[in-house]
Amino acid sequence: MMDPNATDVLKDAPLLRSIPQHDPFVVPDGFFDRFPQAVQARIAAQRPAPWSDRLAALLRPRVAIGSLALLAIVATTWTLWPSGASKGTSAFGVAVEPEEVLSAEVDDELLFAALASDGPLLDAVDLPLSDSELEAYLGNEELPLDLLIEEL
Amino acid sequence: MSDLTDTELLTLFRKEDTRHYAFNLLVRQYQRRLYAFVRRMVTDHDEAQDVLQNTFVKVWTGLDSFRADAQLYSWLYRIAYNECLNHLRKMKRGLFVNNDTVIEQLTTTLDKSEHFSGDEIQKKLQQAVMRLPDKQRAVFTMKYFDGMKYEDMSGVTGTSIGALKSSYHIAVKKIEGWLTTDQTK
Repeated sequence: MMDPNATDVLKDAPLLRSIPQHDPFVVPDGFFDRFPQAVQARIAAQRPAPWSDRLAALLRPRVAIGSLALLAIVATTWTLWPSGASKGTSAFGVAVEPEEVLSAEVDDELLFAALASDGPLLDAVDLPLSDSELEAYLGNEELPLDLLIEEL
Repeated sequence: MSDLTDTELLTLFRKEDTRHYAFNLLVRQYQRRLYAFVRRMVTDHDEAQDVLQNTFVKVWTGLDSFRADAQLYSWLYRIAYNECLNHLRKMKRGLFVNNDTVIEQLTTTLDKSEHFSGDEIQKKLQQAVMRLPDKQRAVFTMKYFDGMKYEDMSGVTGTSIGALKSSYHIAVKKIEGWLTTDQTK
């Protein structure tokens, strides 16, 4: 077993050379019979999942996102769906009751759509002042005209 | 069961239906020799078992890329060698200790171990081997206990033959010195 070079080196080490070379380490009974199975079990534990499992794992986030999108569509449809003939309808055909507006249960978009359809309400905002009256009013209020002009 | 040649083992391993069978044979064929090396490096049986398992798991992963022109045993030995060094490195890092503390711990393991059958001089030799730095311990173990050729050792460790000869020579001198000192105490 020992090669000549190694023996040469050992010439200078009489004490080391005198020690009988046998393996002093004891191995538990049956260890080498069980060991190959233990290795195979380790390998099996870290083996990648079959293709169907991997595909399912790959699709899982997409399925979740798709489900959320479907839920959102259903919820929107449910909210927008006309729920009674007695209610007034807006220009978009959506019923909005005043109580709903007050209790803030109605969607902002629906509210604006309903307001937009009421022409007279917007007309009422029209100022009944002539240009000179408006100028006198603003001058009296000491408002920063340059800022107002800028905003316009 | 007669041992198959490395080429036969590799041929079987590369076929899908005999892959596990071939690997099982490979483990059976080489486990004892590799265990002996690993055990001398890490001393404790349980740790040797862990290191050897890691070695064979890596063999399983990398055997497809093994080139048939190289020697299978040297390749297996190289993986085991690297696993031993990694294990010892992790051991030092995990315990936040220096080399001396690890040596002390390994020595205690040896003293308490029911799996050590050596006499007093064998124990002293093993304790002296454990005092060597990790790589030098590997070199000494390969040469002194396993009788490997320097060419093969060079393939395993990635170190030049000259450097290995020098390392082995120094290791022998150190061990002889420690054994002598212990005897005169």
